[in-house]
Amino acid sequence: MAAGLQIDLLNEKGAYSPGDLIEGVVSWNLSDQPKAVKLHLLFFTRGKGDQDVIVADTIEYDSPPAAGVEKFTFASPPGPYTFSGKLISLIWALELETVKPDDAFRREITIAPGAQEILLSRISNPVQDDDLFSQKLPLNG
Amino acid sequence: MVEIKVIARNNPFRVDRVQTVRYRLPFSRDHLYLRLESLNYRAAIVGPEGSGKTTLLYDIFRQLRGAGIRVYMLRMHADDQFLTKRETKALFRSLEQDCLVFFDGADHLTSSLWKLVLRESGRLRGLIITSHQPGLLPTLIETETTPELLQGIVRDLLGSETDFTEQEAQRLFSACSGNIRDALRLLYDNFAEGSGVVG
Repeated sequence: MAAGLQIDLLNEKGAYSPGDLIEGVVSWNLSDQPKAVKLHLLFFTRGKGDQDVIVADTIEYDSPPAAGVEKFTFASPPGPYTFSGKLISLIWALELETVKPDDAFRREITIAPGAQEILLSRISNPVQDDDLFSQKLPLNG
Repeated sequence: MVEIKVIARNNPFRVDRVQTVRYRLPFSRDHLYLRLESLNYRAAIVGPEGSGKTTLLYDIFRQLRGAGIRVYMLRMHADDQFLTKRETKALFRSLEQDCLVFFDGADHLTSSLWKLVLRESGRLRGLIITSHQPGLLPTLIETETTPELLQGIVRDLLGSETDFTEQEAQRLFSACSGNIRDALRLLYDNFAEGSGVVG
């Protein structure tokens, strides 16, 4: 964790349904005045394959002092939902970033219906392609 | 339905963790960059499949980009169709002179395209490549794979208390023909299914 950066959420669990407001306070305390301070709402992937990071929204604080506190509000996006399976997890997060001096602090949150991460299960006996084609469709007429 | 024992975000062999331990440097990181400088930023990371060449190349890429150096990454796999000669020439001539080009999989180029890349990169700050064989550029480092390295990586990922023995490392190393990337992917699957490192 970056020592001088913090993200506090009004909803301490950090779990939201799509459309909910994500509200909180960010604070930073740096040795020098940074060139920029930004708060990103983003999602990233974790798992077996390559990692992706997509920034959905950003708040930039103008002329930030070396130490500051700011309130923030994002509207929780409609998707994609936070989920996990065997191969991939999709994780939403808030990331507070400072530029020169460069630093960052990330806090993970959940965005999904019912404010619950969706857990994917594996199908024990997946239907084979052949089975799909062997199911005869009724003919019209 | 069958429950997954370990979801992706908790899998100790997920890519973001593996990438932090995928290779071992035989010397310090400072020495690596001094060597790179002494080779005038024209150098090759050489090693077999799955030995961490690409991971190291990207680490150097990020490090130098973070230091404010202008960088450009090219990537080629064995099955990829690379640019034509005309496109390659146009690409290299579009780059600023102070640009340092990184080329992952440079040995997949035909010899005539490689000669062109070499010639066109001459006016740029440098060219750092990965290759399975030495000889294209002076070797910066050779990434090797051994069962001991695999065991060390697994211990780094699971903690030194893990019961992943030397024999298991040897068996897995052989089963994956020395490809440590493949071995770690196999361990990822084993963990996801709840069968641990032994599989």
